[in-house]
This record gives sequence, structure tokens and C-alpha cells, in this order.
Amino acid sequence: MSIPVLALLLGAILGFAVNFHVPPAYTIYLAMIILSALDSVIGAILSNLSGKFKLSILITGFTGNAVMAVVLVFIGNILGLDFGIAPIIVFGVRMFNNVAAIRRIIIKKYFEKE
Amino acid sequence: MNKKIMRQVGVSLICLLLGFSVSLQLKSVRFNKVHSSDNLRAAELQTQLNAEREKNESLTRDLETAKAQLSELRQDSDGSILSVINKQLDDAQKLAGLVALKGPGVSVMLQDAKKGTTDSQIIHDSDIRTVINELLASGAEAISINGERIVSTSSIRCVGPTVIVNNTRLGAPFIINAIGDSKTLEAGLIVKGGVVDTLTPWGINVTVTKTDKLEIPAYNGASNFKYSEIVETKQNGGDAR
Repeated sequence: MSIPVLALLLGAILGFAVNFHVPPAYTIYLAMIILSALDSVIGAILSNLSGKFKLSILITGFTGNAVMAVVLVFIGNILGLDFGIAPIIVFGVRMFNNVAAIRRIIIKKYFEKE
Repeated sequence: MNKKIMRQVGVSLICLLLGFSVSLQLKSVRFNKVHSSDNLRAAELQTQLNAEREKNESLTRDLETAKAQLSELRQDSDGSILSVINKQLDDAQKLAGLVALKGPGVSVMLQDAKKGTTDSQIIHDSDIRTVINELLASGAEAISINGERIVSTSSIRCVGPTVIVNNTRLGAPFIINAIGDSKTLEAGLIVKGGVVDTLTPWGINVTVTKTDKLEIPAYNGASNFKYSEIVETKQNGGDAR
């Protein structure tokens, strides 16, 4: 489990080290990718703990969600409507749900050994 | 075993991407906040302005001390004081139009429309003034009309079919010579909507020629300053501040 953490740190260092700034108009798209990646990582932790992990679902879920979110924001930009709210709410709600599930599993596993 | 490795790799890849995009986003947002003036609040702009003003003040102070030093140096060095004065004299003569000058520039020829003599088809004093004003705005250093040097007291006015410059009658065609950067001068005249564009539709013939060698004669009128006197200022001594 420590390899993903190392990968996270490595990514963070790379992000700071790279000599490139996202223009203000595009930060919203990167934010969408961050959200879907965060959602996927939390989902992966949950499925790992509950033993239902499937790599194909993780990868396709992440890619599909990221693409969907970015496309929605893009269309919203064209239509003059803030479609970015939809992914934010969906990812946000799911992340809270997943974290709650993780919490329950951990409590069950480590604190309720009767 | 293989499945476990794959799992680690998959999660790691997404974690790598997550870390990368989070840090890149943090950096970009911070960068954009600092570097786009749109996002700067008025108060921040005000503080920036104040800082720039203070800088400006201190630079002005520096300039003043440098000027004082310069004037002291000018007084101290007996050898170069003459050249400084000569330079000032040259500048003053050029400015007053008391010497003939040569250099690169443009020659503008204004000619009345060939057919038709309605009011707007002949050249007026105002047309000439517009051309001269445009030339001065484009950085002309010396100007003459048909050999009459334009000086600070020159007037240009219509009298009948002729134009009087420096109390000399001039007839068409008018040749206006101007010393300066020939490219800039030409551009100033032929710019879209400029003086050439305004005059040509009336049939007035405007020809702008760039030349490397122009000679502009000195002002040959008498200078009679009856009323104005030079205001005495304390310029001697080291109190140039």
C-alpha cells in the first residue's frame, strides 16, 4: 500500500518541478480531473477493503468520469451554464459516502473485535 | 500475485496523476492570482501604485542630486565648459532657426487640383498648417515652406490666391521640407485617415518624398521682440536644485 503513497508524493514533486503554468481559463478542467482522480482513489481504497477491487473498473471509471466531467464543463462554457456543478456534486457526494463506508469497515475490522 | 501487482500499479498511476495535478493546480492558481491584474483587488493595486510612486520620488531625488553634481562638474572643469556652452548655443540656434540645417527627411509637395477651382480644391493655409503640425508631431526638427523657415513666431495665412509665411508671399505648388527621421515623418503623413488621406479626395496633389539629404535655410527675417523680456532666474552658482 506504500507504493501508491510514494507515487502520490512523486506526482506532487513533479507537478511543482515542471516549468509550466495552467492558464486561468483551463484551471477548471484540471480541477475536474483532480476531483475524479480523488474520487477514484477513495473508491479504490473502499473496494480494496471490501474485497471487491477490479482494476478494469478503476481505470475505466477514472477515465470515463474525468472525460465526462471535462466535457460537461466544456459544454457548460459554450452554453453559458455552469455545468461544472454537476460533477462537483456527484463526486463530492460519492466521496463522502465512500469515506463513510471506509470508516465503518475500519471500525468493524480493528475496533470491534469481540 | 500478478493481480496484486496490477492493482498496485493501477492505483499508483492514478495517485501519481492525482499528486501531479493537485500540485500543478496549486501552483497555477497561485501564479495566476499574482500575475493577472484582473484578479488583483483595487486595494492591492493602490499599494502597488504607492510603492511605485515612492520609487519614483526617490528616483527624482537621485536625478536632482545628479543634476547638481553635473552643474558643479561643469563649473569645475574649465576645459569642457566651453564645449558645453557651444553645444547649448548650437541647440538654441537650431531651435530658433537661425542657422541653415541639413539632414535626412521628407519633402512634401502640395499642388492645387488640376481641374476645378472650387474652394475645397485649392490649398488653404489650414491644409499647410495641418501638414506642418503632423510633421512636428512626427518629430520633425526643422521645417521650411518654399524656402521659408518655420520658426516660433511664424504665421501661415491665406491672402487671396497666395499664402503668406514669415511675411513672404508664396504661391502653389508648396514644397514643405522637414528634417527628421524620414520613415517616421512619411508614416505620420500617409497614415490612414491622416492628412494625405484627407486632401487627396479633393483632387489636391500630395507627393511625399523621402530624402537622405535635405537642406533647410536659416530664418532670414528680423527678430523683433518688443514686448517680451527674459525673466531673470538664479542660475549661477551651485544652487541648481
